[in-house]
Amino acid sequence: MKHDEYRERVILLTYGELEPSELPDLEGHLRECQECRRLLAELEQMQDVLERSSPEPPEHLLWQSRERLKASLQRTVSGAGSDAIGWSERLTALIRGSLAPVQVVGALAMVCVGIMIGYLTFSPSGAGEHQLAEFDPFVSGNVKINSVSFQKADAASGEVELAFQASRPFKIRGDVEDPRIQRLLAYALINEQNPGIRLRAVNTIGARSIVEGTDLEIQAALIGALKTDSNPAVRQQALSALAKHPITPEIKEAVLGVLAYDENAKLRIEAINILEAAVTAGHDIESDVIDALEDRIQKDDNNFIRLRAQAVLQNAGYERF
Amino acid sequence: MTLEDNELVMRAQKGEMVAFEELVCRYDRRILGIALKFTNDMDQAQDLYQEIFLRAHSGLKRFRLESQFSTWIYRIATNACLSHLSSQTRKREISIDRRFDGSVEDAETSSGQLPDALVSPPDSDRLAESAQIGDHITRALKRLSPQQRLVFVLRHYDGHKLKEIASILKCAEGTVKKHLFTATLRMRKELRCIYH
Repeated sequence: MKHDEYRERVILLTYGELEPSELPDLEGHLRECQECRRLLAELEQMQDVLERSSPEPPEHLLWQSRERLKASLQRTVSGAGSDAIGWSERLTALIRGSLAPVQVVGALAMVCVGIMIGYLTFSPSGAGEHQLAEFDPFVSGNVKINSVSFQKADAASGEVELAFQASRPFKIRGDVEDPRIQRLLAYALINEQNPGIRLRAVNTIGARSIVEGTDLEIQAALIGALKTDSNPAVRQQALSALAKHPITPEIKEAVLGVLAYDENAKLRIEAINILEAAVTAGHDIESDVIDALEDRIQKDDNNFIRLRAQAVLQNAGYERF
Repeated sequence: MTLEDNELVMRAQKGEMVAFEELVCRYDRRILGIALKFTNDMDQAQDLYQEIFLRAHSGLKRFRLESQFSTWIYRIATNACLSHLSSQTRKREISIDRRFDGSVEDAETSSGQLPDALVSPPDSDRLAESAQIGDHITRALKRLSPQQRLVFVLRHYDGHKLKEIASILKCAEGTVKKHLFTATLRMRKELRCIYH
């Protein structure tokens, strides 16, 4: 056997891929060949160096990636209209706590799309296919048409069926507490590409004086923004707005996510403040909150955050640190 | 009870998003690790992660369970990595099947073509020893050809057996071995200064 073939077998040996039947022959060669012995020793050292320097991907990167994927999938699914669950069922499920965040955001998007269709067709009682079919874009004025496609074209009868997208600008004026305004703001917060608009939307939502416990669409939009928005200012405002809501399991999960993974220290501090306020208000400090705070005490690179987390636990009667 | 991948795939194919999310959670840590090792850039790794799982989601209905889901998702990942690298370097499409089946591009001649942007900026004076070693390994990996790097990352960092890698890359096991041998000897040469 050629020397190069033994070198390949040495490599296979270090990867645990050498056939057992080939081992005795290789061992015999190694006893005689200093070069191959040196190769084996170096490869073992190399494996050791590589293993020590190959950490898992950072948790915050994984978390952000998952949240971005959820948001992308939500847009894909709602865009394709393939989700069979109605928005009212989604909200009911949200109350039961059985929906994933992506579904919560989906429910919100569907509510908002429903409103927009209602506006488009000028129907005070809601939009139906019949009304849409009778809608004439050319007499309604200021309507933009795009994505025209042929559904049916019968040369014999001359009948043609076309599908198209029609949109026109609308203005709505009302009190910030108006549910229609609220839903538009929530829609903008989740779907608007311009971060400035998203920031204004979340600021406006956060400026409300009344926060109802049943305000699930708004809550879902704020949680969605907190988890997925790439702009830290938007996330910060979403967190501040959520702080006004009674803490629910969904809000707590989002806040703990920020505390564990958000790269922005201000947001992590705000998350601790919210948890502290909940404890002060009489909520039991649950094991997941304790774990999250202990994790920050041990791992956070920000000294203030470590001290704040420690203080919250101490004030709640946990003196481990 | 933990559901098998195939059961989750069938549910996801019927539109159950929760089933797809479970599949993502089973594999995404390792796939993100591969993307990170391959690009050495968190933003690019995140983009690759999105691309891989969005491709998987859109292609899931066409997946016929003839191979394991894990093999299928890693195949998507490796194709995405190579396409990404292709767009970064040569601005043209790479067909992994062509590359790995028979008419393999000469791995030696295609090495060292990664853009400088993929290399961490040198600041070795301030780096701790471990970070310096990490940088050194990154530079060594970058000098491998894309195919060698994929095989090396899948074998070394992700622990796949050579047969599995051949299945993921749809190529002969001998081709995988060839890339692994070349990659390992190159890495040995590049990293010798660390452990000597």
